[in-house]
Parts: sequence; structure tokens; C-alpha cells
Amino acid sequence: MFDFWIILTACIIAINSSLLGSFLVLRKMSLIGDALSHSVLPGIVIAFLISGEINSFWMLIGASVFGVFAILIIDWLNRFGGFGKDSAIGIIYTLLFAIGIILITSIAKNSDIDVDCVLFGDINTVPLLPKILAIPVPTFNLLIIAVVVILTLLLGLKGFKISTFDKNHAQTLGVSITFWNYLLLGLASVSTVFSFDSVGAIMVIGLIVIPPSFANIITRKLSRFLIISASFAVSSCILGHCIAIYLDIPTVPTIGFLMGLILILTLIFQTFNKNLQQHT
Amino acid sequence: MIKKEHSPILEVHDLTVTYDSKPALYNASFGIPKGSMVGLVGPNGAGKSTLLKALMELVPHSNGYVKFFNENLDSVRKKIAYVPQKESVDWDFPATVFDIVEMGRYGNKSLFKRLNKEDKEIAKEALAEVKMLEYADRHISELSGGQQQRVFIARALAQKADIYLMDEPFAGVDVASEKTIVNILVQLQNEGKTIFVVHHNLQTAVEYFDWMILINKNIVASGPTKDVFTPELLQKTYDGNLTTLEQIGQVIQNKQFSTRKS
Repeated sequence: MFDFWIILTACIIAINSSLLGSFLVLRKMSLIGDALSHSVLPGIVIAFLISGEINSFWMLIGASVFGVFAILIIDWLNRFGGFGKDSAIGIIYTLLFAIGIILITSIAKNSDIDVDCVLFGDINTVPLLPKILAIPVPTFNLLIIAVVVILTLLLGLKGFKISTFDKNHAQTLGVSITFWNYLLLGLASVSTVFSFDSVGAIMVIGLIVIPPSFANIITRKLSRFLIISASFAVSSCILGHCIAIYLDIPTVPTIGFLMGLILILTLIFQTFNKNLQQHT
Repeated sequence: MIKKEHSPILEVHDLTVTYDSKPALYNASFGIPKGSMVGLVGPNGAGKSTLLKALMELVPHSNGYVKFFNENLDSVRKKIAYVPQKESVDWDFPATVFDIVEMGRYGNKSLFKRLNKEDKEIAKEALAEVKMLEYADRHISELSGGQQQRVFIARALAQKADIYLMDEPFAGVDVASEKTIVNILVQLQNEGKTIFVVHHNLQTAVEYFDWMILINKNIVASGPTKDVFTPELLQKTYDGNLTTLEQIGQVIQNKQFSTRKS
């Protein structure tokens, strides 16, 4: 049962991140994961100051609120401030992270919020946490998010597709670009924040970028792209955890390493194959 | 010289668009008669694409208004199809040719409903019209520039609109594609549709369009091609640009005015 919760939690995070990541990658916005990892810090500290508890649900809510807030100002800087997306992300996440650090070292001095905890979560503690309906709390929260993400993507596939491929054309058809953009980024920020808590920021960023990149070299159709992206992420998690147990190394880095390795091997294999075809 | 149109299908009044407080388009006013094939011609940076985007409200207006069928864009959206420059999208997007053409049908109903048989049939017909039916299942990254343009035009055809606005449909397109596209435009005009094309080649402009708008930040002239395509007005539009002026002289000498309608 212990391993079951770890694998299940990792798989849910993998599905959420890789599906939302698919559209982020196609929109060339995958760095938003990096931005969120740091800009949510003030939200965590403020939630702690208000609720007075550490590791609480409120801290995740605070982080999510700041995630959405960060996305809104990044978008505002990009659209009205004339900054490129990458610069806007850089500006905002440094600023918010700095505010977070200042808050921790001054007002919330006694909080023992560990910045490392946000960046490197430990999934192996998940089964030990309190349970709702016999499901560990983080897993339960992530499961709800997964249902929302999958339903939204199924119902809104056409909207995400057209607003990602050609936003000018979509707009001329009367499709609201702002709506689809904020829906995607809003879901991404909530899902990302709740995932940080279990597997850490670096892993979430990896799950946002690597599976879609793998799908991109394998398939040319959007529906298959999403399925391959999610299956790649899920199988890497299961396989990664088994390898981690066998070799007695930590789960999260093993999954990250495995994904990167498969991606690079596939690329090498494809290039080799292409060259071979050209020579015959 | 701006010819007044009494019942224009597209009316633009005092339209001004500014980027960073610099005007990209200044006080544009003109009207287009129904069923015309309009060429929007002017030098680089004259605001041609900006005008087209402003018509579709893709860029904000600083001043003035645009009316289609005497109404605001929002109430007649379904009757207008816009074809952006093909460079404006990422052709590595995971989609087949048919997927893209299908998107022309997205505007006709809620995005949350499935496309029905009729929609698919319309998309297929549109693809056949641009002679790309056999490419339906190809990935869009495998297309040439001309084929990409034809896919975009098929997507617009699938919208079954009355007015077609196209941004540089002949830029970076091979001869065969250009011919196919011209034939489609002629056919659309014969069906009574109005076509509005951003164009940069003066040689072919005089051949393709029966109505012409000369633009250089403001509207220099708008009217039937034979009245507008004069050395004086063209010089005013391309002020000082020698190579272009030579080109103009050559075209005027040849006087190859549109003959296909007579």
C-alpha cells in the first residue's frame, strides 16, 4: 500500500502536468512552470502568517492565489509594458521570490518555512500524511484537480486548439483568446502549486516540458500528442519508482533522469534512422 | 482621390491606428462596393496589414469606425473570413491539413459542440477547391509555402463568408499556387463575394484587381483600378522610391489593365 500511494500520486501529477504542459509547450510558454515555482513564495508566507500553521491547506491556497496573480502581472507586462514573455517572467518571479524571502527573514522569522521544501518536495512522505476518505490529503487534492483538468481539456479541446494554433484567426471567429489563455494558465498554476508540495518544483517543471517534447517528436496529431504526452509521463513515473526502489535511490530524481534519458535516446535514434534512410 | 460609394459593403471612416503613440495608419476613410476585387497596395511599412487587422479588430482603433454591411463587426462576424499572413503561425503545430481547414467551421457554432457530417463535407469541398484534397492527412509541417497558403485559403472558404480579407496571399508562393489562388478569387467574385487583398506586386496588381486602394500611412487613393493606377497617384504613394518608380513606369507603359471581365 505504501508504494501504491507514492506511484499513484506521482502518476496524477504526471498526468496533470503533461497535459497542461502540452499546451504550454505548444504556446512556447513552458517557462511559466519555473516562474510559478518561485513567485508563489510570498503566498505561502502570507497564508502561514494568517493561519499560523505550516503544511496546511491554506498555504497551498495562498500559493495558488499568488500563482494566478503572478500570471496576471506577467501577462500585463507582456501585453501593455512591451516586454517579451521571457523577460516578463524573469522580472516577476525574481520580484515575488525576493518579497517572499524578505517576508520569511523578517515577519515570519519563527515560521521555519524551508525554501528548499518548496523547490524539492519528497514524495516518499505522502503515504504518512493524514487521510481524507482513506486517501492521503495531497493525493486527494491532486485527484480533484486531475478530474477538473481532464474534463476541461475534453470539453474545451477545440478552444485550446484554435487559440493555440492561430490566435488572430480564432479572434476573428469571435473566440475569446483571453478566456482560453487564463483558463489554461489558471489551471496550470493551481495544478503546479499542489504538485510542488509533493514532488518539488524541478520535477514539476520537468513533467511540464519533457513529456510534450517527447510527444512532439513522435506524433503529428493533437489528440495523439496529448495521449502520448500523458502516457510517457505516467510510464516514466512507474518505471522510475521501481528503478529507484531496486537501486535504493530517491524516486523523484530517478523519474526526472529517466524521462530525460528516454527523450535523448529517442532523438538520437530518430536522427540515426533518418540518416540511414537518406543513404539507402 | 477617394471615390465615394453610396451603398458600400465595407465602410471605413477616419480610422487611425497607433503603435506606441506613432500612427501606423492615419485617418483612413473609404468605401468598397459589393462584389469587387480590391487590391490594397503600398510600400513596405505603409500600414497595409495594420489596416486589415484593424478591420477585424485585431488591433485597437485610436479613432474612427469600421462598418460591414452597415453594421459593427460583432453582429456580422460569420459573414467575414480573414486570412492572416502564413508566417504568423507555427507550422510545426501537431495538426493535419484537414484539422486546420476544419477550424474554419469553429465559428459557426459553439466551440463545445462537435462538428457534424455537413461541417466535414464543407471542409472537404474547400480543400478540393484549393486542389489539396490528397494532402488532407499530411502533417502541416510537410507543406511548401504555396501549399500552406492554399490551406489557409481553404480554411477561409470553409467559413462560407461573403467578404474575404487576405493578407499577402501571394507572398512566397510558387507559380502553380498563385494560379490556383487567383482562380479561386475569380470564382468567389463570380459568386458575388467581395474580396479584399493586401498585395505588394504592382505588375500583377493591375491584372488581378478591379478596385484599388493606394496606401502610405493614409489613403492616397481608392477607386476603380483604371482611375487609381496613374503615374501621379502611384508616385504620391511610393514617394522617392526610385526602383519602385521605374517598375511603375514599366507597368504603365504596358497598360495591361484588367481584361478578364470584358
